[in-house]
Parts: sequence; structure tokens; C-alpha cells
Amino acid sequence: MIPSDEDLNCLLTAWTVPPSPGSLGRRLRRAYRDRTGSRSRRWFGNGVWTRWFSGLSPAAGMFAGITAGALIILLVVAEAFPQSLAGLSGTTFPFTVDYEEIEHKADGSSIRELFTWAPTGGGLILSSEFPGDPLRTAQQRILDPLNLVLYWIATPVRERAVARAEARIEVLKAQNPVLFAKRMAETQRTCIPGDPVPVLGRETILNYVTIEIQQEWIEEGKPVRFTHWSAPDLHCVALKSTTEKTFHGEFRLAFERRALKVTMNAPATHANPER
Amino acid sequence: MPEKTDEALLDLAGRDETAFMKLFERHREVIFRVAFRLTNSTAAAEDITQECFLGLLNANGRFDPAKGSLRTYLYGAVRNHARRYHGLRDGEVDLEDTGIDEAAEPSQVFLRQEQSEVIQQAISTLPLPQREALILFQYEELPLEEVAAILGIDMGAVKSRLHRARARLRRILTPYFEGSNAR
Repeated sequence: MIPSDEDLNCLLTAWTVPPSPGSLGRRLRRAYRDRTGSRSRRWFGNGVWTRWFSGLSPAAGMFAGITAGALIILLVVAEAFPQSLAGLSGTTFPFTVDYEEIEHKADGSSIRELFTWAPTGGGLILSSEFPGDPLRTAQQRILDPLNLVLYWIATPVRERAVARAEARIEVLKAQNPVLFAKRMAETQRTCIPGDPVPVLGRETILNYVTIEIQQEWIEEGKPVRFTHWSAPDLHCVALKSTTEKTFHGEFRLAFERRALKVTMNAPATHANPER
Repeated sequence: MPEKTDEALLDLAGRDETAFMKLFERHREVIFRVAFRLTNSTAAAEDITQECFLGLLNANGRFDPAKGSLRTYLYGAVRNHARRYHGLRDGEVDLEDTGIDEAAEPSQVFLRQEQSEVIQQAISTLPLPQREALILFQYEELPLEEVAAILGIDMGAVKSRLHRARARLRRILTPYFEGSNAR
């Protein structure tokens, strides 16, 4: 029997589409910033203001003098702050991770940054250096404490954002508690939200079991490959990651990040019983 | 305070991330949905959605509000990206079928699968031009003239594609339809 128009229409409505993944917004935001050179994300994270100042300070007499004076004040102020996320924000985080990140630029130069990160505490750049450029590195050393001040200033804004995110999660949880619990359990177990992604392997980093995942997407028409090693016992934080971008048709390392130290401040919520 | 129009947000998007993300939030589901339906792949739909929105940053010279809404423009963009995904150059027409044998016996596989997957499979057998027309008209519920504008063809051609698509789907889905009634 050939279905009528009405039957066919009815049948066609059965084709449902999954909602767009939540990670899509984050991906797009990252790509937007790469495309536009937007620095807003780095204001409090990667020391862009300090680099901006470091570019200006040697430029001209009076401005340089004023800048240098301001920097001395900053140094004094920064020394007054405890150099830890907990000390700066007044929050006790379950754990913090200290990282090293190296950005490999297309011109062959690189930037090495040391930073510390905590769940809901964001990241704080502790120091930056420019291998092969001792003068710039020395300038940056003087300006690094500015990141502490900026982090401290941004703390209320960040805390409000965290509170809003937590409230949204509570709403989702209330709407469908069973599904929410199931998804959370699965994400916690595999560190893979949304679509199933093949697990490439497992590796123990700093005594934490990590799951290696690789994802690829297109940015500005070119493939980008992101590989991360996430630890289920540490809220799925990545203890190692590499970002490869395409140059002349081949993947080339653009960013590499590795955890140097994990500091537990309170028992993790999902401790590995085998450890 | 009244919501900013798409055009106002687009003007700001190049220098204001918030405006850009607002545009994205406004249209993301629609664009992702169409991209998914045109490619049958979540990963491809994500890539295409991202490229469509990043493309807005360079859309100033190309998007003309007089010719249609931003959503119509995005439909066109998603369609172009999907064509590239299918390995087609702009303007090239995909006349190939995907090799599913319509004359095959009523598939027991079809009967066992969820309806959604059945429809998805059936539609994926359509040549891309027919699929585009069907998705925009049937699923996005766009008027014929808007579908024609997005596809760059006249309304007669849209009707023809829709007619052929539906005829083909009827043939493919008849076994399933019979199976559904039989249960």
C-alpha cells in the first residue's frame, strides 16, 4: 500500500534531531577569539595586560617613568597578596593544579607560561617567559605580579558567574533528576560529555588515571586536533593536552600543556579507591 | 529594553563577542538541526554550524537585509557548507544516488529500527538537491519562495524536487508503512 500524503507527512515527523551540544558554544567562542584576536578571555588569565605594558614601557621617557613607578607600587601590592588561588579569592578549592603551557608560534618562537588552576577558581598566570628573548622575559618577570592583582579584582565577577552556572545546573537537575544523574555518572566515569568519542588510551599522570581523547574540528577552514588526557578523579580536569593546527596541510603542535603538580586541599569527590 | 535585531547584533558582532554569541544562541538550534539533517553527522553539523557563524564576521558585504532575513542567509550558508561536506563545488549538482536498492524486499532491518532512524536513512538516499528542498520545506516549514531563494532556483524547480523526493520516499517507506500498520 502506497502511503497517502497525510501518512507520509506523519511518518516524516518521526525524524528527530539531537539538540546541539553544549560544547559547541565554547568551541565557537574560542574560534571567535582566534579569528578576531579578541583578548577579553586573557585579561585575567594569560597576562595580556602585562604584555601590553611590557611592549609600551621602554617606548618613551615620561610614560615609561610613570609606568615604572606604577609597577613598583604593583610589585609592593602584589607581594602583599598570597600567591595562591585560595588566598586570593578567599575560597577553599578541593584541589589546585599547577601547569606548564608552551605556545609554539608559527614563526618558530614560543611562550612558556606557568599557571595554577582550580575548579571554579579559574586560572592564574604565575610567570611567563620567552625562550630565546631574555630581555622580554626580564620585562615580563617584573610585570607578572600584575596578574595576581587582576585575578583578585576579577574574583567577585568570576564567583557570580560560577553561582549562575551552578544555579543552571540545579534547574537541569530538578527538571529530570534521573537522566541528569545518569549523564553525570557517565561523564564522571568517562570524562566524555555528549557524543561518544573513542578513547585512545589510558595513562597515569601524577598518580592519577587519565583517559586520552582526541577531537578534531575545523577552524578557519583548517582542521584542528585537540588531544587531552582527563582525570575522572579530578572532576575530569585535563592533566595533559596538545593542540595541533594545520600548516601547509600537515598538523603541527601549537600548544602543549602538562600538569606539574596536583595539590589536594580537601578529599576529592570521586576518589579512586584503588589508589 | 527591546531586544536588539539580528542586523544590529551583526553590526556589532565583529568587535563585540557578546553580540556575536547572542546571535549564535538565537539561531544555533535551527542551524545545527539543518546541518545535521543535511549531513547525518553530529560532528559535521557542529563544524558546519561553527563555520556558518564565523562566516558572519565577513558577511557585511554579502548579507543584504533587503533580500531576506539573517536566518535565510544562514540557511544558505549551511547549505553551502553541507555541499562542501558532500564533496560538491558551488553550483555543482549531485545527481548520484547513494546506492540503496529501492527494489529490495521490505527490510526487516527497517521494521526493527526506531522510526526516526528509518526516516533518516530513507531521506539520506535522496539526491542532495531533493534532500535540501525537502528539509527546508518539510522540516523547517519555509515557504516555497524562500526555499527557492536559498537554493538559487525558481519555485517550479523547488516543487519538482519536492515532488520527486516525496515520490521516492513513498516507494522507500512503503514496506515500513505496511509493517507499521501490520503491527
